[in-house]
Amino acid sequence: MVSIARKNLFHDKIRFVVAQAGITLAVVLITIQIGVYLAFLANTSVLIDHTEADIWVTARGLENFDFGRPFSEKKLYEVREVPGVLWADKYMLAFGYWKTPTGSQEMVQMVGFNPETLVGAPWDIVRGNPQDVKYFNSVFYDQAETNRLGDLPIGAETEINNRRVRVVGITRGARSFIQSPYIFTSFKNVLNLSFINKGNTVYVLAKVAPGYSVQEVKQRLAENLKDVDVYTTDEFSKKTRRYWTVNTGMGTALLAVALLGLVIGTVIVGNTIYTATTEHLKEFGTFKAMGASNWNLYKIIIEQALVNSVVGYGMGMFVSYWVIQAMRKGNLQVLLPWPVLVGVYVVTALMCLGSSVLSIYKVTKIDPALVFKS
Amino acid sequence: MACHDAQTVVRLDRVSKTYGSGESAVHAVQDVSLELAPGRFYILMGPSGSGKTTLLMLMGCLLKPTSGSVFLFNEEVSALGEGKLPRVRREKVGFIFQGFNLFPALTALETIEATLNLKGLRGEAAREKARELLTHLRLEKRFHHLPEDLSGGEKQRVAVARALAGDPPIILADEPTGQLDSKSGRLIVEVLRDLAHNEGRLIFMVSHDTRILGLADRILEIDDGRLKDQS
Ligand SMILES: Nc1ncnc2c1ncn2[C@@H]1O[C@H](COP(=O)(O)OP(=O)(O)OP(=O)(O)O)[C@@H](O)[C@H]1O
Ligand SMILES: [Mg+2]
Repeated sequence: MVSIARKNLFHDKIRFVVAQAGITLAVVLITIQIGVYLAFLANTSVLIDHTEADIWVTARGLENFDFGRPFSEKKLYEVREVPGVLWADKYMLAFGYWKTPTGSQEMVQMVGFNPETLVGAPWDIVRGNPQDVKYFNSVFYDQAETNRLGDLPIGAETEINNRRVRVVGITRGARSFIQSPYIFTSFKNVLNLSFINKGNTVYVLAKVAPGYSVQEVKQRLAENLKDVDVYTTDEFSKKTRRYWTVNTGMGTALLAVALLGLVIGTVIVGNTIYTATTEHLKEFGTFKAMGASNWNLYKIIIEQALVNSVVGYGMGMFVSYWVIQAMRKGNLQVLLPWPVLVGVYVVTALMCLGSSVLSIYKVTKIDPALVFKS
Repeated sequence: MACHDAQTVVRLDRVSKTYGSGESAVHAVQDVSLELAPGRFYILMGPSGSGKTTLLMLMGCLLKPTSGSVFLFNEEVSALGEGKLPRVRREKVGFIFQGFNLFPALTALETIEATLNLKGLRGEAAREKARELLTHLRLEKRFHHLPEDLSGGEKQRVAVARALAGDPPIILADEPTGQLDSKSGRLIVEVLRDLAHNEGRLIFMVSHDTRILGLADRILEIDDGRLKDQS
């Protein structure tokens, strides 16, 4: 079989290159934006998603994880009373100012967990032992935050809120995206270093006993406890992600750029395919005169679109790969699970097909008299 | 209805074609009746705008008559639905145009092969047949040339080979020599005549060129949409 589609496509090299540039640009924009968006989404709830708790008890009316407010730690005992609760523990979150090696102050979020139970402790340790945070003002920081906090080795000392602290460990993957860096320490140390009063906690984390459903226990807690909100881990995680993406407009902005890529791609591809079709209208008409049905002609145009999409997607992925490598060096994260990559191809193919609609309409309407004009 | 010669390939029965309506109506073809036999070479002459191309399109199932009937091999094609016409054209008719209408991206061989593909012949069989048709038109040294690398006469010979792909019994040619010098023009006309006489096809050609009239079996004249009494 002679593929008129491919012959046409590769014959006009300049036009092909322009179309490919358009598709590649669109693919790169879409891929990177979605990758950044997903990394961003996963990061906003990274601490919640890594605790082994099933239920979070929070101050009433909280917007998201990072804006946690203190409430009386007596609630912890009330939680433990409720049937179906296997264990419950306090979990602290407080803002503070970290003194960097250059002397400037960086806003950080101190995360306080119980070093005996390690509920809410960092999950991926590069160096150090998380139990060591039980020592006075001992802290862990994340290796991805050296840009903001300074490259401090184990044993180095600095200050949080003008009080001396000591680095006892380094974590990995506990990095916030737009939030302040997370500093892990003990629950007690957070009370020392922050302005939160003794006798308070910011969260109570609970585990549901085997044989009970999470929803059921959550329901019971919500009924029994006053002046607090109760979420399952999943609910709290979603609420936090929703806040950072929807309420801040951040997610919308990222997706808007992806959409822009789609529009640019559609316009460029549509334009090149359309002019390629109108220029060959007479030959298409001739083909029709010789007995080609409209479908025979659509197949040519659709094949052109699909070949464009495959080549453009390949180039787009190639370019994206190098852009992502460069971004990772610049400490920007990108998350691209394979279904997303498949999805981007589907979008690319639809974009190329969609931009062929005008051409298809055009060949349907070919006037037979056209082929006789010289 | 009158009895018709079994040898009739194309028959027009009181065919008229009017473009537009009301004041702007153009009566391009008026009340034309005609019977064309196989193995014959017809030339249609007439001034510009007299309806030659319109008549050709009616015969080639590219246009529906406003009134009257068109028969190909006793099948009333003017009564067929739009969806059935591509098949009729694929099987019965080959076209040749003044402007060649070759895909610039296809070589001579690919042009013929693609047309054969369209007509149901695939793979190596199609390639072999394409070579045969081009060789028949003495283009064996031009298989892999793009239209831009062919002379006008060669381009038109590729177009003739394309019209012959699928072995249609009817070839309709609209001023095929219009863009050729007289020598290559005459060559094409001779090829067409041989296709009628040696292969039994019906060749119907529109031409202005009085120098080649001697090659025709029959000359038809049209003026203002009406066929003149024939000699
Ligand atoms: N689609 C159309 N709509 C309206 N009028 C048309 C259309 N096509 C042709 N005509 C008119 O019909 C008449 C016959 O046209 P046609 O093209 O058949 O003439 P022709 O004999 O082939 O002319 P030429 O020698 O210039 O090719 C002309 O007056 C032309 O303007
Ligand atoms: Mg004409």
